Amino acid sequence: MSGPAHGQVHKVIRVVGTSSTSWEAAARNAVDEAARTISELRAATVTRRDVALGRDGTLLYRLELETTFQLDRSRQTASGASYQVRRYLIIANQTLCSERLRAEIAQREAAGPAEFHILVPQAPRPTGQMTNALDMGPVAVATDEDRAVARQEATERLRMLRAELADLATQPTGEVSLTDPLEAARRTFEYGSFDEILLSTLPAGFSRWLRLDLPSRLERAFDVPVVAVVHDADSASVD
Amino acid sequence: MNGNSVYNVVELIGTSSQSWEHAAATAIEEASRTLRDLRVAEVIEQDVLIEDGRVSLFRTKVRLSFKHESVLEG
Repeated sequence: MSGPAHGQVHKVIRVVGTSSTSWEAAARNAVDEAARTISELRAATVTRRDVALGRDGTLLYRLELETTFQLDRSRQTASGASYQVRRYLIIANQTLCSERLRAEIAQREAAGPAEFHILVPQAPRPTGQMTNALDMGPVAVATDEDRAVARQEATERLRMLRAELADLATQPTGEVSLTDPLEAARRTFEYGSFDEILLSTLPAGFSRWLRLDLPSRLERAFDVPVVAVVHDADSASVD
Repeated sequence: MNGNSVYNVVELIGTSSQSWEHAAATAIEEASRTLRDLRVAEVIEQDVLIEDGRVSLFRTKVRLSFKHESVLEG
């Protein structure tokens, strides 16, 4: 019920939460989900609500909340002094918990006030099969279980890196995305802006991301510098 | 609001750590300590305050109307 402070730039987003028990639980769910990717949330206003009827006859409370978060780079110390931060997007999956990446992060942290957001894109490995109408043979599809496995693996890596970075001045935010890295980054840029992307990959011969020329594609798509952190050939799986 | 009456309208915000219903009730209870003849409270806005990524407080803004009493009537 109050707006951003004078002179700051905020972005407005809407999130929808659902619950089978109450509006309050729906609001908590929406805020918990939004807070996983956006830090610094202060308040959220109810903009819409409705009730959906579930298949088994139960009610589903749905609540839309509008919230804002700060888009610009000015921050204030507890004593009210203003300073600027640099924001970094870290994109990594297999190589998330490596010395190499931690060193790059430490170097940027030492250079001045910094905020980090970690994006872990993990496309599910499909085990299901589907035969399409054109009779071109079976096509591999990801099942719900494949998606659950991918999410669990990626979440665990994210949790480990965040734990290792616990002594950064500002706790990094993070998210897991079950799509390819370019699409995942597109969604992340919807609600944040960054000064640099750190792309952590496997060694040149093994990295699918490097084969796809992901560094230059990211650079073109978002118009920010991309630093590829390519790891040594001591690991031989794919990104 | 029939007859030739005049009503005052005030807006109040109630808060609760449990629910928006409880937040509205808090606002109305507080208002009824000083205002007589409260009839209707309309919910006009609801929001949540967030602390450390969790909902910390439910807030309900209500619009209350009550009969305007002139000095002569009293």
